[in-house]
Amino acid sequence: MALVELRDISLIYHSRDGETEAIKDVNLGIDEKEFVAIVGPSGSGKTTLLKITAGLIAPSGGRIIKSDDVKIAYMPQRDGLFEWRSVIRNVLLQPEIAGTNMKLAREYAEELLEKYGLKDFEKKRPSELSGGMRQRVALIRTLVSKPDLMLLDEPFSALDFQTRLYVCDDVLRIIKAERKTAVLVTHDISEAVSMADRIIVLSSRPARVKSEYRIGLDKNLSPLKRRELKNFSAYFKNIWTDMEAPDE
Amino acid sequence: MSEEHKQYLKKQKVRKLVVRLVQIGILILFFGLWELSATLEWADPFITSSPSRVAKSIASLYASGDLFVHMGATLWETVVSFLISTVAGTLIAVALWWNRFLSEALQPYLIVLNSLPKIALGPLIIIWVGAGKGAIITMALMICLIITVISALQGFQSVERDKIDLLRSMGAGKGKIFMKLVLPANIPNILSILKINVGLSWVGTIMGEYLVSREGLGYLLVYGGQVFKLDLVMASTLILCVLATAMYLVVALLEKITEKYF
Repeated sequence: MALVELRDISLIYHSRDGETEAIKDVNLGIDEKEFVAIVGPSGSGKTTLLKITAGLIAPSGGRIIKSDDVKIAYMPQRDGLFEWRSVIRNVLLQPEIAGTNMKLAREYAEELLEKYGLKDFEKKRPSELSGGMRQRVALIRTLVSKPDLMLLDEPFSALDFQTRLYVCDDVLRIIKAERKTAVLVTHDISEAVSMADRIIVLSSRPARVKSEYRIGLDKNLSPLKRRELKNFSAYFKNIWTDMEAPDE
Repeated sequence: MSEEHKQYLKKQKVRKLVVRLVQIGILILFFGLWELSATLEWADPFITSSPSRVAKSIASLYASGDLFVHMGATLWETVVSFLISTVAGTLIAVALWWNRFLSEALQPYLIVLNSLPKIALGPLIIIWVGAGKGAIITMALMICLIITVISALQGFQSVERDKIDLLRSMGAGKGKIFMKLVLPANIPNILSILKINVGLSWVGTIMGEYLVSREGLGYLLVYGGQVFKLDLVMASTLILCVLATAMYLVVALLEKITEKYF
């Protein structure tokens, strides 16, 4: 059984100018420990779909099926770090909001910071960190709540190309090490192919699932290494063609 | 340290010194020319007064014990209206942020009140509040409050959607979103509102004192003008300059202290 399942999800935006069908009958299951990437043309409603999954937007139709104890954490575009908080206080935002045991949360947060090389930056402000490190802090902030499913909304869009490649490696390594399930939304096909186990291609608006790819690249390699594999460009090309093809 | 860097540092130091010297020079030149024009009667000192006459005027105010009464009155009115308008304005902005419907419903009224020249309310204020300190503070409040509400609300509403969503995904309600995100993100904005309010509350207080007052620097200005004691007018203006700058510097210091945290 899937960890979380979207069933017949649709969303209609209402505005004075009329109504826009943003998402139409999306069915999607996410299995445990899976890394799913959702790609689609810009403006196709990828982010909206993610926000619906996170429970931030109520869908117009359909429902999300998951058991009550499945915890979902959402990581917004860019890193969303609070500049006035130190790294550790950024990381502890969720327990602070939820009012959980701060002592335990702090221990876990410190353990994660230590493990991923941020121990010395605990007291620093986000503005003192590099783009890649900020991303890592944002990821640890998402991990602190011990979520079962992590939703990543174009997390690398603010980074330059080189940092992006390196942060992709970093993020996937951490997610695998913590044995998490994740859904990544991106408009970058190569990013999706290099990171995901499975790729969902959305059509342009209204978003429907156009096709689905199981990526058979060696899971033991880092995303950067996977980019060098022979099959990589084949996947890329297929998905690219698919995205370009007119929606039927 | 390289020779080049030493040169650079030295150059910066010299430049800073020159700027300071020029600043002081302008001050000396201004007062010097003013005094000179009065002594040599280029201009009638009865109309233009002069630094020495201003000094005498301040000294006699001090001797009669009136100086601090007037300064105190104006300062008190200004500080009170500054504090009330900042606190009340921010609180109203919080309420409007909280309730989007309310802010939309009240928007045209905010715009009208903001565009209205507040001095037009003078007669009403005097009749309703009475011709006393209350009227002066009300006038200053009228001037500062609306602009505080509008600027603070604008700041509150411009917090990034993504960050609000992040907190919502963590289960935060409106109160927590405000305390953990909107308010701290807006501290710099609120401080810049404070800076604007310092200036505006002085405008409001002096304007109020023009309308009704028996004491205060605004009163001295009006009285001096009416009886043609230009020395008194100039003296009050100078004192006003000093007080207003001092208050601005206090707020600027506050900004500098909080800057480290936000």
